[in-house]
Amino acid sequence: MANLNTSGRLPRILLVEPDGLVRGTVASVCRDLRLAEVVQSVSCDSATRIMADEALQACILSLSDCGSGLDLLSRIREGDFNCPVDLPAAMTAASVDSAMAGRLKELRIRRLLLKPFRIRDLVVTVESLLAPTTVAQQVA
Amino acid sequence: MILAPIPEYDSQRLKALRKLLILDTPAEERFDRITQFAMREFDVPMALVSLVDQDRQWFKSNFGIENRETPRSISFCGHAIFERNILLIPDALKDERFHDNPLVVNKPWIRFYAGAVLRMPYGVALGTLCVMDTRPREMDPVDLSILGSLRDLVVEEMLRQEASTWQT
Repeated sequence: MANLNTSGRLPRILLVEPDGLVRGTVASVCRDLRLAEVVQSVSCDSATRIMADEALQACILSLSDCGSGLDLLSRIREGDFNCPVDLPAAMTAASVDSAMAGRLKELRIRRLLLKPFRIRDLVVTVESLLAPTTVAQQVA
Repeated sequence: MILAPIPEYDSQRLKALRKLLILDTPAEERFDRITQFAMREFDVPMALVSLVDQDRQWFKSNFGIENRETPRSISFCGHAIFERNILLIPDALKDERFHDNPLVVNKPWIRFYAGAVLRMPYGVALGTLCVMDTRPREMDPVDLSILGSLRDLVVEEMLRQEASTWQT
């Protein structure tokens, strides 16, 4: 299951999640399974500072964070940070309406996780975000 | 059934356990939240923080089990403390150590058991964080890693307990 990049390092993925137990456990499991190094953030505000400094290969943001997850994803897509504009992204949320679902699709999120989700769901999401995509998947 | 064996270093293990001053103390949220989290994550009806005392296993946190302790000799955790990491019993009825164990053939009807060893940094195994079900199950590497990570959080809390005990 090891997921080393060409430099022999684990890919780095940003996880924005307010629950410390969830955040810490996902980080620990991803490290244990050699999937990724999880850069943890409690909110999208603090994640904005991380995005400015860190080279990341993917991100999982939180829509529950007063809408700032959406703002942060918009800024990523607009090229405001030192990462690709097509950075693989997933979003967690308590619920979404159809308008929000449409907006998230426009912002090209690969996966939406509705709460309550399991640690396993997040780990599988990390794995899928870091997996090479095919053209067909990108179009879908 | 094979009774839970006694490790050679048991007196050293029991000394470390008693030094924590944790046995027979009330349930605490810091342990219960991890146990409940494990129950939800693995969708199991029973989860414990179990400490293996001289003649009993005593539960610092217990969900889905009525008793606060059981005899050590029939405990799954008494076997688990011999493991380096996790004791996994997919189906107790098919395991010679447990197939006619009272905890299997009577209430709480344990069929599946996964116990991650609570090992202190200086090597002694004090008990387990374990999840149980009344039906056979499997665990894959992701599940085992999640259980191990939750176990690490329990050990962290025990180390905090140890530090606060030394301060008083």
